[in-house]
Amino acid sequence: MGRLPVRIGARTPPHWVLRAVGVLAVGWFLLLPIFQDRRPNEYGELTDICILALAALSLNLLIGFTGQISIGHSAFFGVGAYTTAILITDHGWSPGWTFLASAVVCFGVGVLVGIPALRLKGLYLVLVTLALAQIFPALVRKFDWLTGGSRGITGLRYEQPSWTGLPDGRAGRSEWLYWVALAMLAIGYVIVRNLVKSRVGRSMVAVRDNATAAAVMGINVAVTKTVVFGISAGLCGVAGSVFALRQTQANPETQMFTILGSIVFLVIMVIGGAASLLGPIVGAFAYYRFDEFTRALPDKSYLPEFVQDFLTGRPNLATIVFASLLILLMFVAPLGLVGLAKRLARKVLIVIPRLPVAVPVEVGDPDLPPDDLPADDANVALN
Amino acid sequence: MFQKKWLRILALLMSFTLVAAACGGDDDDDSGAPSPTTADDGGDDGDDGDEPSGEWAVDTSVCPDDVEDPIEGTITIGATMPLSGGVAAVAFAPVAAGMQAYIEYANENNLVDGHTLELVIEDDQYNATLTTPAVEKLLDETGVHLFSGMIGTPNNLAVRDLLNDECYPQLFALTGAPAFGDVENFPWTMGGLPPYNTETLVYVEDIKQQFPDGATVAIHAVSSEFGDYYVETMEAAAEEAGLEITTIQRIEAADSNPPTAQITEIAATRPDVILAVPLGAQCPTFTNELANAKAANAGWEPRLYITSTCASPLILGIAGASADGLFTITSGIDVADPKNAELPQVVEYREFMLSQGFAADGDFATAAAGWNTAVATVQVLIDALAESGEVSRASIINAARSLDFHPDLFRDGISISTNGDADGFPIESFQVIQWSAESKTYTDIGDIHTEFEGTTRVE
Amino acid sequence: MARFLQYFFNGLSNGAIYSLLALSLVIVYRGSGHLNFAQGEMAMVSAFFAWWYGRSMPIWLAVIAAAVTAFVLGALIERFIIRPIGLRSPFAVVVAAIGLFLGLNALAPFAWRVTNPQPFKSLFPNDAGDFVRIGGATWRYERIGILVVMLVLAALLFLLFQRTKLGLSMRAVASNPESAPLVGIKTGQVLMVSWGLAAFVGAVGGAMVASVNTNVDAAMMFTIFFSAAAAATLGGFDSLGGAVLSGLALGAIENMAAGYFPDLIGQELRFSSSLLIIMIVLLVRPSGLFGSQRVERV
Repeated sequence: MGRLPVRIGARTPPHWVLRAVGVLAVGWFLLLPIFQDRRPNEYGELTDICILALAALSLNLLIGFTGQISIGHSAFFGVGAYTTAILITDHGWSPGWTFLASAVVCFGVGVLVGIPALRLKGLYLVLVTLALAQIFPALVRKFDWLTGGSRGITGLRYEQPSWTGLPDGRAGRSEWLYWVALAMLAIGYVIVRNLVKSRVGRSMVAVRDNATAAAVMGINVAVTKTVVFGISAGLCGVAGSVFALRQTQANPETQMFTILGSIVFLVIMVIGGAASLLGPIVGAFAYYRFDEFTRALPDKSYLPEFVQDFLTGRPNLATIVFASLLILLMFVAPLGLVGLAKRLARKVLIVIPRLPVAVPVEVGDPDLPPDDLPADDANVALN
Repeated sequence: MFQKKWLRILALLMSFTLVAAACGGDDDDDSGAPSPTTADDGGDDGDDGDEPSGEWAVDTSVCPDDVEDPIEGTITIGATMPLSGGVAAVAFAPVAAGMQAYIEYANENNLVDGHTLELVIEDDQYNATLTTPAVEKLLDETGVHLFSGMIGTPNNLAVRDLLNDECYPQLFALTGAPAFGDVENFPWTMGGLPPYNTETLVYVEDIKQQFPDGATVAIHAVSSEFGDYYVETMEAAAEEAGLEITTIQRIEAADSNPPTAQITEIAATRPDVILAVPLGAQCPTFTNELANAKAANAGWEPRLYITSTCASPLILGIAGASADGLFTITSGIDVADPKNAELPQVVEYREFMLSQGFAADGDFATAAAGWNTAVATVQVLIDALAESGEVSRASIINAARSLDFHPDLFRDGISISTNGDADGFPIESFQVIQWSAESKTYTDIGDIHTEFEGTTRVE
Repeated sequence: MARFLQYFFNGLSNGAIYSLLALSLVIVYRGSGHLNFAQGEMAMVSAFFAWWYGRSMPIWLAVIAAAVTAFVLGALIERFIIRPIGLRSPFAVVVAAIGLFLGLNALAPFAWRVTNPQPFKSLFPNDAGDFVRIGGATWRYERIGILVVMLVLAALLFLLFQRTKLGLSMRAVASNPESAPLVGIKTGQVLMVSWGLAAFVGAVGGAMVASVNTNVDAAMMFTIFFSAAAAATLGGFDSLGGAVLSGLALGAIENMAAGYFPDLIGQELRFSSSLLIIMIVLLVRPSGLFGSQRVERV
């Protein structure tokens, strides 16, 4: 085993072991709260990460797998949040059921947007989704009899059910909301994964890579695109529902309901890795910690005196560092962190895919450049 | 970070610190009534129906057990403010510096006997989404005892339920939304800026005095919660005051196009009065456009009232001659005005800020807003200690609900006063002032309006 | 009629600024196929440069100097950020542009240590009486001046693209980036010039906005950028003439919509209503009014 990279065949025992280790690692990480006592604010942060991950996951389904670009997902996020807020305050729904309603409502809105989007691509589609992002907060203000107008809806909360055995008060509530957010993320992940790995998923990729060719092969491009738009919107709506509960309010001035929210989702998707299943989750984690880290920077006491003098009276240091790191990251990891991890991992280990024609894995072309491997199967264990 | 709503808050903060000619002769005062300065601190004027009763006490039966535990040694104050994130940071950085400086001052002078104060500010980039995790971090990791001076309406709303559930004082929230005086439902929450609806009523009062036979009014307001308060208050008060609203023109908060279209519509109705509620950089753009419209409509000279969020001399200075003669309100002394440079409290303030490393060319006016917030917070702690002999979260909020004192950088005759659930708004008295573009200073118009003490409606 | 004319003039005033920034977006798009999210913020920083230079020189000279500065910065951004990342991944370019957008927005206050909007001298005669009256409507010299500057710049750009060797190279790169190098065109230089030129035009736009608003402010280009992007899309994203006409049309349409339907649309839904109209146009003409059908590179 002296020479790197080590090569193993797909679906051979070593590969299964690797996969199992990967699943356990991710699972352990997510379920860590069971094994450790955490402070309520840590649950809060993890909840935020799950919400962002779910929203980016929904965007990734659309952009990464069907190639339709949307900067209007903030609107679906907002529709989801408002659906939850209105159903709880005006109709006395239990918060849990509103997720389903959000998914349905946003699926409907998504399909409605998806149909005209069929005719458009590239920047022209970007503009239509921009319109969506722009119009949503304005409509919230306009229809104040429903949405509470510019004052928004406050006082939302999701109490932990007694069967959970969680402690009373904030500690239990924070943990409960984390589990809810994690469950929604897990459901979203499973939906997207199954969709992508299924026949539909292959149609989606075919549509992304060449819509004309896909149509010739008998794929109903219109239905595929529209349904995917709807599912993506539905998932984003659920993320918005959890967000409303986390924020305890829905307010048209919330940045996440504006174009800036869409930009955050897009950035998370790309820094995680577009068209990668785990990308949005990794991206959300990285984005959140990254942002937290830069905002904590203004404690400049460890810097040399002349640097501190230079910084006196100069605000925005955190944002400038954040933006610079974002650009730098695109140099280092243009295919996102998952892409970077795959590339680095391939220097250590290559999983040779099992080809349709049964080729003994040992005989695999030793000079096969790693990048020519189908990206998904060259992945190490993590899928 | 691109929402300009922060600007109004900033500007409102600044308006605290404005002054008209407190010492100088008011010779260009066209109302003919030089402002009488009330003799002493306290502001306990006869018409101030707001005597602290001392009877109100927070209900601690629904609180965690530690709410009445005395705080020993260091008292930690938490706040969230925008320190980065584009334009917001620029404007607010001095607020944080001013607040921090006064906390140092209080420690050096041992103002809260036996206690050291510590202020921990988390950066939320004026994004309410980040406020919740920041406040939770302050609660769970930093272990703060109270919150004060958190900036922004949605930001404060985002943690209002949380802090009331956990029974942590949320003092002097830097927002003028009239929701922040709802003592009955949110006993632990208190706003710290002049309420927007009461500000509008002061304008209505002044218009009534100027136009006893009624007048026509046009409104230009940003399309947001902030603008809504002015519009709704004016609409509700108009009929009784004999005012006719000719048109209401809105502008998007982030719109950086000049409001040519809106002012064209306003000019077409030729109102006697305009109430303008633009935001930040929109303020000088608005006055400039209005001057253009007046030139195109000969003989039309409306009386312009502009929100105090536009009142910063830094902002109106940009507007040049077009802003000359407009009216607004204030409660504070302008520490940046050369006329006030000799006042002892201003001298002391500036010297201490400089000793704390604040830049000599820094924005003292904005920093004064943070300083004033800290002054009020420290006063609450002093009162809590005096009234109950110990500082606990419960004694802090009880003291905050029966405040009556005069901060040094406030105008004579204007005090910070609250009274249990009868009055949840600390600042409700104002001086109407008029801007002179030539001298870049304000002139007092009429007496201080104290008649609204304790009357602000929770909305 | 006076009312109609007034809305029309107001609309052209806003529209001329949309057109300027839309021209920038189109120049970048024709060159490298990107939508430059940071175009508005580049214009804002340029306006700050103009304000800064303007403290020690006549304002028009300051604007030209700022535009030249912007040209250099634009070219450098293309060469050292956009191009290397673009070679790696198209998505990464989008995020890099967003990074620029955030960073530049934060940079102006940081670099100049300014805590408030700063006064900006007017570029045109702008006393109270400086307007003409046409059919009962007024039109200020300043707004006419901006329209003229925009039209002159657009005409110069047209000449540059159609009549010069550089323009020929730029058109070659725009229509076929793969084979342009085969005929000896230095694609890299053309791209740098495209980005520089776009930044130059954007800087002029930024200065115009600052002049009308009487101040420079870090938030000044945020909404205008989206209006300009909408205009560029309506025009067809690779058509200079389309950008000019759509920008003006967008300004006029949104002012009329808000003016004639104050309750239904009003100023609150002004931009939203124009976006809806553009959406409908795009459904009929998926490549905009003047755009050529071609494969997107996004």
